[in-house]
Amino acid sequence: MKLRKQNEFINIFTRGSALSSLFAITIAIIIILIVLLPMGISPKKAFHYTIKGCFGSLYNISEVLVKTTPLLLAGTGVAIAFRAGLFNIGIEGQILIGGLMAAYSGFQWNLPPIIHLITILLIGGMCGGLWILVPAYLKVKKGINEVITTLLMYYISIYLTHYLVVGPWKAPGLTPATPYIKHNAIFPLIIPNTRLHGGIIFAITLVILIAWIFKKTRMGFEIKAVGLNPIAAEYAGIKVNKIIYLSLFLSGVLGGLTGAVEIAGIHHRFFDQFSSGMGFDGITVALVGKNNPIGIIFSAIFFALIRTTNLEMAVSAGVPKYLSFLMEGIIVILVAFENIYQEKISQIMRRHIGDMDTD
Amino acid sequence: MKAALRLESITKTFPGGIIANHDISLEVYEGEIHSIIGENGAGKTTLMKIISGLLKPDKGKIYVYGREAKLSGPLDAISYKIGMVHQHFVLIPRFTVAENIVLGMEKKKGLNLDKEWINEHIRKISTRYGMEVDPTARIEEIPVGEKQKVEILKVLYRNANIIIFDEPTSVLSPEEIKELFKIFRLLIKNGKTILFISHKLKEVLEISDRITVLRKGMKVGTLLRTEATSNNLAEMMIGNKQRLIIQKEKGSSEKDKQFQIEDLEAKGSTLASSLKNISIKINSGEILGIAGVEGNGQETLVNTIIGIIPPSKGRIIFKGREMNKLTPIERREMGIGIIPSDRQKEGLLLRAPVKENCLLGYQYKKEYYRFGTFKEDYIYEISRKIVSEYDIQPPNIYTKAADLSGGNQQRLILGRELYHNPEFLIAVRPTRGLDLKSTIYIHNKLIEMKNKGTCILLISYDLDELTELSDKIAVIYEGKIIDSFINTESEKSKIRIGVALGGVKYEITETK
Repeated sequence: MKLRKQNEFINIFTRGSALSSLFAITIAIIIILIVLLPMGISPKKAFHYTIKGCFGSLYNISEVLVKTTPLLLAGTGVAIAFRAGLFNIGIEGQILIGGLMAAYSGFQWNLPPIIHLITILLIGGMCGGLWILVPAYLKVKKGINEVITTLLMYYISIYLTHYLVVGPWKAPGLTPATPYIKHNAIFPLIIPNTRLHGGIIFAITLVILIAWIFKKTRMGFEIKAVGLNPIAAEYAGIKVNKIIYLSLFLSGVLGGLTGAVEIAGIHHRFFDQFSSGMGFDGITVALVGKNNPIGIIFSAIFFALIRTTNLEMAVSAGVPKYLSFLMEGIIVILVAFENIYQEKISQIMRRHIGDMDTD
Repeated sequence: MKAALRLESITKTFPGGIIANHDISLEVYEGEIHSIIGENGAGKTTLMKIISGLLKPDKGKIYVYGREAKLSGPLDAISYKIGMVHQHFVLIPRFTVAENIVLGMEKKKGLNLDKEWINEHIRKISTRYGMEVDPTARIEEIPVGEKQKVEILKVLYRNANIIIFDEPTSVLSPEEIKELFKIFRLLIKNGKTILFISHKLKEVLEISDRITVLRKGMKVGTLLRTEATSNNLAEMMIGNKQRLIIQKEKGSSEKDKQFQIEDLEAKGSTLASSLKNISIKINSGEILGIAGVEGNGQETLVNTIIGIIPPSKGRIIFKGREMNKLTPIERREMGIGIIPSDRQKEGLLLRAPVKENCLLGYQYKKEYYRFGTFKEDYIYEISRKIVSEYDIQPPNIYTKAADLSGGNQQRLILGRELYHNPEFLIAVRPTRGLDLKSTIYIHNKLIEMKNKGTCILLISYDLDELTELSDKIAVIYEGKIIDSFINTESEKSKIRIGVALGGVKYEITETK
């Protein structure tokens, strides 16, 4: 029993998956530190900014967690599709739709406390899920690649939500935004006088639930089987089309929830393109987290830290805000090309840990 | 006799310490067909890659027509007139035959291909060697046998004198193999030298002048054709005499254990592979062998039985119950197991560990769950059992299926299916591409299952396999069963199958 647990643990590393993410992150940090040098920021100073920006005060810590929340949800959403071998590149679209519908049900209706919050989360999640059913249908019936359709649906969602917030659902005033949602629909704060709301707890619970589904249930196994080999899955009696619908729907629900949680927790109303690319960040988070929910928790926190550090540097030292995007780019490229060096890394690991073949 | 090719103590070690070739010396005479045989992993392919310049040996020398050859790439091999016909074709489907043949050595007229010259030249070579192909046909439109001819023409176009064939018969039907051997003889007549890689003893004995046997990266010996028998070759290859097949027992005809198909019709991907009025019956403890050339409906038959393709007519009955309306899972629940024809594409999750592959196809079983969650310990125990009982190497249930050798992948599938005690087993080409040792192992296991009372549907292109294992044989041709009979004597059955493969029913009156 104990032996088994050990073996499983080591196999994660010899497979090189977690390692290649760590490798990518390390290389990216080194490059960024070099880029920072001519701006007069030594590695020591950079480290100082990270500590100060992310952990300097309770408020700073809370901001890291505020940034973690949507990354966690969006990253998990992308990962569900990835697991089934599908790429929901347009998750940003589901975030917009989910966010808008959550805002609508938040300002339009009057429900008791808690119930109203749950309602707008449900509405947001469901609408995100329904939004992706169009690509899912086209994929199953016509074999059209979901990369294209989800992306096109993203563009439709931009203009649809834009139309609604400058038109029918616009609140009086100058900004193109909906009215504020009702008090009962707002996520309660965890720490007063910060922006940290209950969404982080909701998100972590949800991610753990999904980790459990992935690892322990028949559904999780079937999604993985379809992702790894749809033909073998079909021979194994798995209904591949059902799994495609299911996994894309769940991915869309997570997208919709990302939007709904941001509306209910941070913005309290929908304004044009409020999501500012958090769906695309979710793709990075899923890649670095290796589509593993637990990995995604770490990678979401990591990217939130990077963002916060970058912000601190921008304020204190005038470093451009876009440095964190540069870092993300480097990491994505390194992770995407992992096959090139993964073999080498796991070879080295095997040499140091010893031969794992004997069980 | 003059040596066209001489190898001097070739040694090749791969990273990780795997010795693929150890001190191999070999002489191939001009104008002979020299066969290299050995099990999977004996080092045949590595040796051929060294000869064709794709791999560099760590030690050893290669002499071509007495001259030492430094081969550091395929182009060098071409300059020494060595050509290789690969086991898996390396052709571009969208290109024409001619374009594929000249690719990389195009004859140009201005900026364009000199199509007339090329087509003419190809026609000339192809008629000389008895390989009529249309240079303007697209690769995607021609059958497998023709594709192989294109591969051979590619090598001839590059003026190769020493031609290596890496397991060329593995993709061919018996008819096509005969044709290939005719081509071999024509090549020899025109002064070429052939290195023929195979692990099929019968073919090797039929065509070779001399035979070299490799085992575990080392040369066991070279025999003249006249000295070789399938017994002594097999012994040299596997190193011991374990060839005993378990004694076959007779099946029973209990109705409630039978598998039966009545007047089945179903649409396949082509007209020839659509099923027309198929009726078969397999008793408990019986093996029904389905013979036939690839693409004559075997795949459609399997997919209809397991429930991927809905039949348009007819009934599938198992244990007295009609299955037509059941889902694939419900059919599996009735006790149907399958060894699919392509273990990597259809049978395994290559990037998942052995443990998860042990579950694939049986994930519906309630015994694997407690409150809807996997019983990890139980699944762990079962995978360990399968791995040890079927001797899967390495014996680690966390190894990815992709990292197992072909034989071990097949053992994994076999173990998974047999562990769940199927009452009806579909085995499609169960020993495809496997070495002798694994083949014998799998054959024995199938007989064991049969003796336990399982109905087995065996689909294969290998006549030896079919006649050795089956109780009854049916021949499928263009989606119809055109002949079926009880398999009593191997040699007679083979003749009868051979006739039926061409679409003709064997008439008893014709032979005496």
